[in-house]
Formats: sequence, C-alpha cells, structure tokens
Amino acid sequence: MIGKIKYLLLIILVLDFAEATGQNGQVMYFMNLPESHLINPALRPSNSVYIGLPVISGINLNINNNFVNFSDVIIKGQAKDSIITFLHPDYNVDKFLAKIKDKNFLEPETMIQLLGVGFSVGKDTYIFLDINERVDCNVVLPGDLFRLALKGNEGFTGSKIDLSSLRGDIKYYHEFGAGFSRNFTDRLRIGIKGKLLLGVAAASIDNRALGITVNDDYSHTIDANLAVNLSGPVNVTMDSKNNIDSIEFDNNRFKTSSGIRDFFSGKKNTGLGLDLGATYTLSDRIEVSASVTDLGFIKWGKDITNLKANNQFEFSGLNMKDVLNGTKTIDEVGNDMLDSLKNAFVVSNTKVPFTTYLPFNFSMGGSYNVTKQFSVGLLSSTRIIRKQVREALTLSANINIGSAFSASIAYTAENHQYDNLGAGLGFRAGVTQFYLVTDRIPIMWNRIRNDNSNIIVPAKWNTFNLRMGMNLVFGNRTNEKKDKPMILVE
Amino acid sequence: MTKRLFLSISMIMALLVTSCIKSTYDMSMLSKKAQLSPTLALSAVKGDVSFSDMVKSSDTVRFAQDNLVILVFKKDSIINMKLSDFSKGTVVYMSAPIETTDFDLNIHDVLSHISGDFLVSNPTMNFSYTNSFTDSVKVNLIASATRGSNSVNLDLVPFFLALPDINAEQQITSSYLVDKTNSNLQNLISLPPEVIDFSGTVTLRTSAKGLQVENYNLGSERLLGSLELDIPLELKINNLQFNDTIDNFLEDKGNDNPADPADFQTLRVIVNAKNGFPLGASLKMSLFDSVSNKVISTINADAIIAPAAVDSNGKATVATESSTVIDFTKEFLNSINKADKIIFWFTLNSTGGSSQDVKIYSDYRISFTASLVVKPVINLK
Repeated sequence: MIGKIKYLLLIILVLDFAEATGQNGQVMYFMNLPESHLINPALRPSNSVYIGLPVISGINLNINNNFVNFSDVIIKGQAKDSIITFLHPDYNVDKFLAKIKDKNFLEPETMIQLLGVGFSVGKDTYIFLDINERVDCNVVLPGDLFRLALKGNEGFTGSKIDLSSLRGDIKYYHEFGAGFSRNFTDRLRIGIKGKLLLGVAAASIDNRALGITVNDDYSHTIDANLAVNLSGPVNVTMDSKNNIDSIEFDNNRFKTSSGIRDFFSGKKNTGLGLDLGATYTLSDRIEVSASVTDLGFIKWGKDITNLKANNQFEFSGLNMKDVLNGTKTIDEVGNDMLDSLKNAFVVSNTKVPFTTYLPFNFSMGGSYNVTKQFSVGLLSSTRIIRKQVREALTLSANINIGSAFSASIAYTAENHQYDNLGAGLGFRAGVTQFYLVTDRIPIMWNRIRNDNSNIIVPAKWNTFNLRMGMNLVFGNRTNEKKDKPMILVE
Repeated sequence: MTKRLFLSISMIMALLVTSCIKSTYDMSMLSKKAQLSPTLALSAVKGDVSFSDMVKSSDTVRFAQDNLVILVFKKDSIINMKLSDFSKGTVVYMSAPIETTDFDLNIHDVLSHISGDFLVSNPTMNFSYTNSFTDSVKVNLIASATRGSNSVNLDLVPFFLALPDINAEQQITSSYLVDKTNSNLQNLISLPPEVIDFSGTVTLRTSAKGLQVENYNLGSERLLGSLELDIPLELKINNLQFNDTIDNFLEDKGNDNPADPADFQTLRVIVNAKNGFPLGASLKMSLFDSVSNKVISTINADAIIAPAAVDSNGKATVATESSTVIDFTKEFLNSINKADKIIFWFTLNSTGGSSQDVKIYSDYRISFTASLVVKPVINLK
C-alpha cells in the first residue's frame, strides 16, 4: 500500500512538472467526435445522436507547466546507479535555475462530463447539452522567487526581486451548457453555446504589485499590493492587531447532508459563459474554422474572505541612533522594527464578493481534404489567462471514416517546444463509441524502480493532456451530395 | 489509399506508444542529502549621529562656545584650612600641611582595557579658592597621578593666592590656573591617571620673620579651595588599543540554533562609514580558548573607519568615506565551537597619528551602515 502511495506521489510530481500548452485538445479538433463541439461549437459529428454517459463519457485532464521536467528534479548522480535531487550538495543548482523562466506556470485542469447529449434537428441543426464538473487551476511562480530561494538575495543587489507575476487561481465549478450549430448558408456554419456556471469554491490571488528592491547597501524596499480572495468553507481569524491568527477549514459544514448539499450547490456563486464558433467551406476540399470558447466569469458571493495588504516598507537596518544616545536598548530597537514591519502590512479582512474570469481560448483552423476520409489540418490555438497569452500551432493528419473510425496524428509547436507529437483514436462498435486523445505522446520514458516494482514515466513531458471516454452514438449523418450535374451548354 | 494511410498511422502510433526506455531510476539509491545555501545580504545596522547625540552636555562633559568638547572633573574642598590649622596651642606656625586627598576619576574599568600612546595637548586645572587671610598665602600643591605602577608628578611651582582688601572685603574669591606652562599637567593627564593624589603645604607669610609667630591673634581667617580639571579633547592618539574579552556568544551550545556560524560557507560584514571625526578605528577579533590559554583564530579588519582630514588647527574639515569588508574565514568559522571566549581589540588613531593634534568638537558627525552577507548551509534532511 505504501509503495502504491509512493507511486501515486511520484506520478503527481511528474504530472506537476509537465510542460504547458497553448490550448489542449488540438488533436481532437479535426476528429469526428461529439466532444469536438467543446472546442468549436460549430463542429458537428457525423452521427445524429450522441449520449454521453455520466463520468465515463468524458474525462479531460490537463496538467501543464513550462519550467522543469522530471529529469530536472531527479538527476542521475555521478556514481553508478546513484540518484540525487536538484538540492543535493553535489549538484550545481545553476543548471536547475537555467530552466527557470521569468514566469513559470503550472496549470492543472480537469473536466468530467456528467452528462452530454447531442442530436440533429433536421439536416442543418445540431443541438447539444452538457453538464460538466470543472476544476481549473493556474499558478504563476515568478522566476525571481526560485532564484531568491535557491541563490539568495545578494545576486539582486542594485535591482528588484520582481514578484509581480505571482498569480494563483483555483476554482471548482459546475458548468451547464446548451447550444446549437446550424448551417446558415451552404458554406457557413455557426455554433453557439451558452453556459451557466455555478461555483463551488475558489481561491484567487490578485497581485497588483509585489517586489523587493535590494539596494547597493543591502537595504530593502518591499512593495506589496495584493489581495487573496477566498470563497469556501474557511474561517480566518485575526488577532487584536489585525494580523492573521489562524486559517482553518470549516469541517462542521460537512457534518450534515444539507450542509454538504449546500456547499456543492453553487448557490450565490453564479456566472455565465459563452462559446462561439464557425466553419466555412471554401471548396469541396478546403474548410476553415474559428472559435472562441470559455468566455465567461463567475461572481463569487458565498463564504467570502478577502485578505488585502497594500503598503511599502523600507528596511535599512536597525537604526542605532537611539541606542547610541541611550534612549533605547538594541532589543527595543529590534522590536520596534518588527512592529513597524507588521504594521506596514496589516491585513484587512473583508467579505466583498469578487469575480474570476475563465481562461478563454481562441482557435483558427483550416483543413484540406486529400480524400474523402483523409485530411490534413492546420490549427492555431491561443489561450489567454489574464494577461498571459499562449500560442500553439498544430499540423495534423486525420482519418475520419464516418463515425466508425477516427484517427489523427498531430505535431504541435508551442511555447518554444517543437517536439510535441500527439495522437487521437476514436472508433465505434455498434452504438458505443470510444475515444482516446492526447496532445503529446511521450517518446522517451524513464523506468522508476522501487523495491520490487517498476513504473514508467515520460522522460520529458512538455504537456500532459488526456481526453478519453465513451459515448452512445446513433445514426450517421450523411453529407448531402453537393455535386451539381454537369450541364453542357452548347 | 485510405487503407494505406490507416496502416501507416496505426504503425506510427504503435511505435510511439511502445517507444524506448531512456533511463532507469532506482529510487532505493536516491540520496537523502538535500540542502539550500542561498547568499543572504542584509543591512544590519545604521546610524547617523553627532558627538552631541551620543554624549549630552553635563557636569562632566562640557561643550565650549566653539563646540570643542571638554571633559570636566571636579574635586571640592581640596583645601579647607582655618588659621587654627596653623596653630598648636597658642603657637601659630607659618606652614600647615594640606590634608592628603585623592581624586578618583572613576575610569579604572576603562583604563584597564586601554594601552598605547595618548597625549592630551592642553589640559588645565583650575584651582578656585576663597581666601580670608590677609597675609600672603603660598600654596605648594603636590599632585601625583598613578596608573598601575606608573606615576607622574604635577611638578607645580608654588603659587601665591590673592588677598582680600581689608578695607573693602573680608575675603576674596579667585582662582589659579594650572596648565602645561607652569606644571607637568599635560603628561600627568596623558598618563592617563586612575587616581590623582593631592597633598602639599600652605604657607602664610607675615611681617614677622622666622618659623614661628608668637602671640598671633587667632581670628576667623579661612582658606577654601577646590579643583576643576578641564581636559579639552585636543589630543594625539597613536594606536590606542581597547580590548575586551567576552564569552563566546557565537558558540553553538547544542540548543538547535538554526544559525550555527560553523555551518556558514560565508560570513562577511561590510562597514560603510562617512566619518567626520578625526579618529580612525580598526578591529581585531580573536577566538580564545581559556583552558589552553591560546588564541585559536583571529580576524583582522584594518582601517574599519578612516579618520577625517584636519586643518592646521586640528579641526576636521572633510568627512572621510570608507568601506571595509570583514571576511570571516572558513577556518575562523570552523573554530568557533572550539573557543569559549572572544577577544575584541579596537585600535584608535587620530589623524596624523602622533604628529598632529586633533580637536574633537561636539558637532562632528559619523554616518555608517553595517551589512551582513551570509551563506548558510541549510540541511533539509
């Protein structure tokens, strides 16, 4: 059991250090799957009806980071078979820091589809509904934070330890979506999906300024203007000096079924979302498309805690003047300094509702049908998280044989990573359709041996993305023949 | 065509999924050693103070009108004599001894830690008196300063006191100034003394001749005298050393001190000063084992503060900026836990050393910062 827990922790560690992507799901974009409408609501599967079964119809897991891999943390030592961490005294920590970027993001996300339904109405319209459980997390750790922790502050002399990019958001919410897509002309198809979002819990860091200037004389100026917003069963108590005394999870909330229901209901934490998409058929062989998904917000109004600190503080050493003139002891001067520091960053605890925005995605793609079943596609995916923009460009080769079989392999260049090879596979057996899609296939693996067991983990994961599930599908939409009779005009 | 593509894609996917193992990590071989060693730099202390901030004007420290600092030591009733002190029965003698008294400057503790050359340029001793004797009074004040086994005599030439004008007053109050022109006061003060012993004689000179004056009319004449020693801080200092031995406060006594200096890869103190005093200082710090009576390791910081330049009158004109790095060597850090005492040696020098007088004024300023740079090794496991 302990061994399994070790493996679980190891896997979590590996997943935590997978590399980020612009938007996950690029491979699925050109596949004939009902879930494609999650990326572009104008995309329509070939089957007439699909029903996504609770939980098993769709699980999507993305865990991304852009700074280090497993092999940067666990390193082969010089001695045979020895393994060290990057904190080992024999390891040059500069090698680790060389991988650290100015903004290091970590973005685990998961979505579990509780219910999905899609059906055709007439020959042009496709309606879809879905209910998803979503947990989104995005954290940005400033590179200076790593450098400060591992190398200290002396290297920053005469400059600023810039922590302004420190950011963190985690939110758990229900997503109820309903939309449709329709051919508005022979060539243009537009899809739209509206979403009601009910938030369960959230924590968000609103960082407007955070930095430490290290002056040449090693005095420090600390600027801080940040707020931590919480919506969740957390009790924060302050002491008489308005400093945080304790932060405790409110277990009592979960002692009754009504309390649990109330917590998961998402009441008072409401939001809206919108997906828009369009496809345009340029010719029999060429189709272009674009979409914007996850435009939305949640206004959090339940169990609110806002912790805010805003001030500037200069520390230039203990001022010995009072000690030298005999009015204070050095202990008193030291205590005065600590009091000043505490008072400079008094945390205000308020209960003002706050708003979080969903990271939204913008995609533009084009496909060229080499044959009726085989196409190549090019997709640009842009993901915008607050002020950060991630871009990915995917080239894919796709086979779609009705709803019976769909496969795709894709190459994605993103975030200065050029070795992302992805693949997707979907096939139908009767009314059951299985699919498995990943944006990056690990080519090299590492074997982790512990005691008498082995697991393998990717040697280098620039992203971990997995979508898998099983749908019930019915019918198979056939494309209306657009061939026009050739008329010879004399 | 489609079939070929399907086969190709399937083969590629199969190859990718069954791709090769790059490395094997045997987690049982994972070293548990982990540490952090960041270099931390912090401004530790600072100050911007004048002499008058540190030392207030008082009975013992006086600031002259031009702000020259003067140390003042007073001794009341060094002479308290009535005519009866000159008599035995009905016989009045011409001379009477001054009762021996000592003048303790109460600087024994300080002096016990001081060695080196120290020369005060212009000390004065003001003998203030009230005299109601109408005949001439000659005072032979003998003073001897001692410091340890060393002693210096004042060698003051006997002097006469002013006399009251019997037609206008019964007594006169006046003073007599003792300085380096009429005595050895400069060397006496520069000893510097712990105690000054006073004795001597007071001689009355009447019109009568001889050692005894018969049938002298015994009146109420009286002589009261006190001393005020003024030491203007106009001096020369050449390697005046102050040392002090204290318990080794750096020693790790097994109380899980998270900042055991022995674990420091680097410990550096950087002192920046803008010194308006014509005094410079250097520091030496030694680890001392009192059991073996040996100095184990020493750190030297020469010219930690450089003295200000002075003009021909000895007054500081321009503050001198200096920056000194005191590097605690690894050898010193490793020896910390072998010593039970630390000896500090401060060495003071005035501008120009022993060749020039410098004056200390109350408005002299010094600003300084002391920064600390440490590179600790923080063991995580």
